[in-house]
Formats: sequence, structure tokens, C-alpha cells
Amino acid sequence: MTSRPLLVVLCLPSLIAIACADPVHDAAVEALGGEQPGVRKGPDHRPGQPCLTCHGGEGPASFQMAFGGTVYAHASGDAPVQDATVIVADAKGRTFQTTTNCAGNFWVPAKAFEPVFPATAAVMASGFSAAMTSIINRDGSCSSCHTAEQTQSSPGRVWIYPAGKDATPAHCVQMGDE
Amino acid sequence: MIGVRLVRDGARQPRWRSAALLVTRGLACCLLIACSEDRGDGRGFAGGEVGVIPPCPTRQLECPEAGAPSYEKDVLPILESRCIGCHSDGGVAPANRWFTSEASVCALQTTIRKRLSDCSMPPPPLPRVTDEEFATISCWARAAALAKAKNEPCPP
Repeated sequence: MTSRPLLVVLCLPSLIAIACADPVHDAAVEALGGEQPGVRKGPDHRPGQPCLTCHGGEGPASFQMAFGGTVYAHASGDAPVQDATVIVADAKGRTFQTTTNCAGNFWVPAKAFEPVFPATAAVMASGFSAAMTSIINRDGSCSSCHTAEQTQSSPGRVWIYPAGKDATPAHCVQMGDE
Repeated sequence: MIGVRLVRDGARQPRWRSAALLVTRGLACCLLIACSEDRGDGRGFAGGEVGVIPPCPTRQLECPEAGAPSYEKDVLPILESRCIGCHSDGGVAPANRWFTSEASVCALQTTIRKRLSDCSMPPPPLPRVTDEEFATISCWARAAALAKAKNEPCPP
């Protein structure tokens, strides 16, 4: 006869796997694909992707964000805007300001700001500004709605410059640059 | 630690059973750690402070009797830095709210003044216009309204 502790020991690895697994979340992470060539995991990686898929508390990233996204120069093209100011405001009128990096990425650490939804956001860069005309209901990943393509359910990317105004070229340090 | 024998109901337990209990507890700890949240600071974060959007102030408008602000010299630079990013072709504002010319701004002067007064424009959380910018645009808009009442063109 097998004793109870032995059974628990045998079953625990399976319990751990079951307890921590969320197939829907795992599929969402999987759908993001691999890292871009030459870009290591960190602040510059995966521009334009929904940050909170991994950084929303369900992992696999340990660092959690309240908001995260990417600012582009124009609605089309991949030119990011560095040093753009991003302001988010929550339902209580509390604001948090952050800045984009060389990849155009920005984020608001969950540790620093716990917003009450609905929230809204605005972007400013080089004398140009744009504010959301709708509200952020729940998802802190800008790219969940601001997809690369403009569709009936997406206003397209977060972009800031009018036609004719080019972004200052930004270069992120990549693997092999150091 | 493995060699420690646990005693229950006065009976000695076999050594393997103690070891099994220890492994069980260790694995339970691993489960807790694996599923617990880790809130780091994030590398390269360049964040700012948390503030609160203040209530919209009530502004008293005092315009000079003569010499209304100039559209080209005074109003247009403010519109360019505060408004035209959205209120132009390619911006998020609808086409009937584009500030493409003095005439289009003149036609919208009542709305512009109202939106600035109630702080609905620039839309939060963009910074509000300053008192000076508010006075410049509002005084020009007031002069534009007076001109319109007289069937005259907007002040240049």
C-alpha cells in the first residue's frame, strides 16, 4: 500500500504545473513569437507588442507594468520616437509621466502607479502633441488596441508627427555593439 | 535534516517517511515562490512623478479696449504648439474642426473660447494653456466675434 506522503510527493510536480498554467495566457505569450534578431530581452525589446501580455502579472516576465506601449513617428513605417513624453491619467485624475526610449518603448511600473480605470493618455514630442479621444477601459497594453494596422477596432499605432516631420534617428545598443 | 525523525502518537516513523514529508514541504514552498509575483523596478525606467489634474480654474478675461491680439503674430504660434497637431489633416480631430486657415479658426472662435474656458481642450492629460495663452486666444476670439457681428472680417 502506498503511503499518503509518497502520493503527495509524486503528485506535487503535476499540481505545480496545473496550478501555474493558464492555457489562454500561455497561447497569448506564444503568439508573440521570439525575440527580434540582435535584440536582447529588456527595455528595447518587442516594440509594438502588447507589453502586459508578459508584464501584466501573469508572467513570464517578473517586472510588472501598469501601462506599456510604443510611440512611432507616423501611422505607417517603423520609425520610433525617442524622448517623447507620455502622460497617463486615471479616473481619479492622478497622472503619471514617463519617456520613450530608443525603441520608442515606454512603460509605467505597476509598483509606482496603480491606476483606477478608466484612464486616458497623451503623448508630446518636439512641440507636437496628441491625446486620446477615447478611454482606456482596462488593458494597460497600448498595442492591444493600437495595432500596426488601422482597422474597425483599432485606431492604428500610437504616432505623433505630421507628414513631413521625420523622427530623429534613434539607435538602440544591440548584441554585438558593445 | 533528512535524518531527523518525526514522532507522532508516540510512534517512530520510518526514515523515508520523514524525508518524504520534508520533500513535500520543500515542493510546497517552491509552488508558492513559483506562483508569487515579483515586482522589480524595470531597467532603464525614466519615469516621472504622480500628480493630480487640478480643477478647472475660473479665469477672468480682461481684454484691452484697443489693439486686439494679432492672429499671425500672437494666436497662430499658440495654435501651432497646442492645437494643430490634432486639429489638422492627419490629426485625430474631425475635418470640421481643422485649424487650416484664419477663416477656419474664426468660424470656430466661439467653440474655441468655450473649450479653453472649461478646460476640455487641450484634452487632459495634455497640459492646459497658460493664463497668458488663454487671454491671447480669448481676446482675439472676442474681437473676432465683434467683427462678425458687424459683418467685418476677423482681425488679422
